[in-house]
Amino acid sequence: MTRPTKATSEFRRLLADHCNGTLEESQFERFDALLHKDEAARETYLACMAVEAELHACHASSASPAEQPAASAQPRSLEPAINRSRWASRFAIAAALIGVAVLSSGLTLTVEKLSDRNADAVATANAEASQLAVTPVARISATRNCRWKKPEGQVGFGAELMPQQRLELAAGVAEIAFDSGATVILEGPATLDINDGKDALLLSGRLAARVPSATGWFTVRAGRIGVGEEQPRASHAEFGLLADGRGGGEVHVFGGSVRAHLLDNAGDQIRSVQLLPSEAARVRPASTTVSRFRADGDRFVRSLFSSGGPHGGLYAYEGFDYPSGPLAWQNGGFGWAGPWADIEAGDDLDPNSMGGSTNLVTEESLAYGPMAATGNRAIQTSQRNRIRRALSTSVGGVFDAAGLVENRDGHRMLGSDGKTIYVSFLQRIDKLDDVFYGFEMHRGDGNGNRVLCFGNGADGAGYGVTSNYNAYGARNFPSLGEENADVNLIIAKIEYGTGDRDVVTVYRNPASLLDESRCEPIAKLRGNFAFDRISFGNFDGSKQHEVDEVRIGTNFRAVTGKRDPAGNLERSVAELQDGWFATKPVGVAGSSGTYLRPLSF
Amino acid sequence: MARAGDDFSRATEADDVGDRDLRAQFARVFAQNDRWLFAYLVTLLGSPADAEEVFQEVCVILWRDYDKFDPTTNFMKWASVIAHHQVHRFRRTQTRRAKPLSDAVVDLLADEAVAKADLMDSRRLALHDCLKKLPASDLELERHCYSDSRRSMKAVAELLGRPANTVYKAMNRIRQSLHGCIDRKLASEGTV
Repeated sequence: MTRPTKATSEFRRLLADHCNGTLEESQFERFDALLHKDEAARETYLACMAVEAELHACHASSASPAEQPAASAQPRSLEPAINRSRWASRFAIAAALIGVAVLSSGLTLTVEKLSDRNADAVATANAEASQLAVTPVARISATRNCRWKKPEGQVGFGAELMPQQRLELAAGVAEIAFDSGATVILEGPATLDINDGKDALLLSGRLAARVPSATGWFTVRAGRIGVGEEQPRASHAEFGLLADGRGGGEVHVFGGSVRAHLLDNAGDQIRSVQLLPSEAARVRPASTTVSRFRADGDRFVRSLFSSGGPHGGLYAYEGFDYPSGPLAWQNGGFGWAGPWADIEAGDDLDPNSMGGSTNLVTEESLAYGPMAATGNRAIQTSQRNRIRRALSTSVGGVFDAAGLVENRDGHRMLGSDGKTIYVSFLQRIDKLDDVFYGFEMHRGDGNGNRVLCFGNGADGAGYGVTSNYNAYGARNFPSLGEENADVNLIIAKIEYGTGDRDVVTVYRNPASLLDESRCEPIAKLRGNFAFDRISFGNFDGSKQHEVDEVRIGTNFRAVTGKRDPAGNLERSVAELQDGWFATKPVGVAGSSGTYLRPLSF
Repeated sequence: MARAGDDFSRATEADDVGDRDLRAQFARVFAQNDRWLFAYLVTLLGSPADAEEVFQEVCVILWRDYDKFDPTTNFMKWASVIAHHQVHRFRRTQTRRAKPLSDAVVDLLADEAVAKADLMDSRRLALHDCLKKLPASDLELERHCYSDSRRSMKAVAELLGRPANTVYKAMNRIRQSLHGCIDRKLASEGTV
């Protein structure tokens, strides 16, 4: 209720005197007695005092310059927040200096009678304010046909976003990567406040969010509906959010489990509901009830990554956008000759086995920094496993049309002389140095036909690159550096020379996803590398082997998923890329090169 | 091979980041509620000038103890306990002349101000639109009366060279007008 109930006229007269400062001491008792016995009087008093307090606050903040304290230090990036809140007056000294200066609304004012303890707190807060003022918490990682309401704000592809920054997207779609790991796709027209790296407020419009399990927590609010939990998450989540700009909102869950909260006008939680995939909840502006209905994924743009077919030098793609279960016979992506086929599928009774297969699809993509990832991921849970998929190398197929196929006595393979092919994939294992696993490229099935293998244990070479089609012995296979249990991005560039003198250059976790010249190779191998299929193998030991985001194309950006809108090509690569990766090179054992390790996301 | 020092520095760095996140989160919650907190103190103390004084002390305590605040709980409730306590401490230093409200009423108001925070917030927000509708002369008088909490309306009347009674009556009329405007605005928004 926001309108006070009717108090007596006697109380109103006393209240008016109280506000004017003319309430006599003889009237105190009556005034107090009425407040004590009459709830309506208290409600009227509360309403009146709220307005009195606000009048003091806002009029004090608009005092003449002569009345304003001299010192003023507004961090540039906090200006929008300051404009939104005019809370600055002499009585806000403590808040402004001790607390509000950190993030919200305070001006830095002179301090009267602050104790040493207060002064320390002020110094700490001011130091933190200056630090926060220059620390971005998110970045616009992709755009499509974007038009911003304030073009002078220089918001666009690659822009760093500060805490408390407001994004006003008039049209188009923008992808925002938060430093917590969450990704939001904002669809214009929409207004979004970036509160910090883990929290945002959708004032109007719609967005789709992907929150990997490694994110910890991420919260986003739309009107009176809030999504997320301020606790470490157990699993990933993907959901859409709508805000009508009048307090109403909807949340649609596409993956994982999401807790949606109904909030009051102050933002406090009234109740919450747990939503599962394909469930949605709606709150209307003036309602206190949550209605549940079926989620509608078609109402949201959920990815800016274009996977509809070959484009921009990308000829084959597999994002494992399949439901959890066996990978065999799945037939998505593009650039392939047919579905996945089990070659070997663990004959032991694995508790993780689904339907007998241990070459599986499981929920959530492997997350790797700003690289776009959609769908789920492949996982091999048992130890006698190999699954393969043949590429579309037939006459008139996508690779043939691009002139990439060579015909060797009727065996059609990628590897035309003078051509270059890039292959990229994400790979992770959960146990180090545990016998064999690998991402393989073959010309026909069988170990003898393994052209290249990226992993551990092949021919006893350790973590590295091996091949059965080269002139090296097992001892000379190049290392991929120190094996780890993180998600690793591997990019192999294969240059097909005449006379089968091919060269493969390997990048592991490259410093840039845009500019190959900034990346240090970690391995290089010479041999005969024409191939017609890929496979994943996992043998012996007890590890799990995961693979995701397989791309085959003819240029570096095509396989990193970072094809750049033409309008942004004038910007330097460094400008676009700096900040996502550490600049300190990490030495790699057994290699003269170095590679840059991605920061944690 | 990782060294113990590296582990320590990584742990310290992680602690720093966690603490910074917590402070930033607290700052955000604080900023969302600072106006309400001041209004809460004005309500309990009945005087903006006294509220300013107590507000400073409450802010120092809140920021000193920010790490004790559980972000999953209600900030208003947490802050109101501290503020209520500080109000009682302050009142113990006051004379009877300065205390129109009894302790019992202060306690009643303390509970209801938290329970009816929506009422206070929506009226405060609506006020800004209503101020724009005031005639310039009323706005000017109001600015004089509210720009310095230590300046009484009698002092404002002297400053303006007007009889004090006319200032009191004018301010009663202006307040009545503002509250009427707020009521109508909230009713039209369907929030009443």
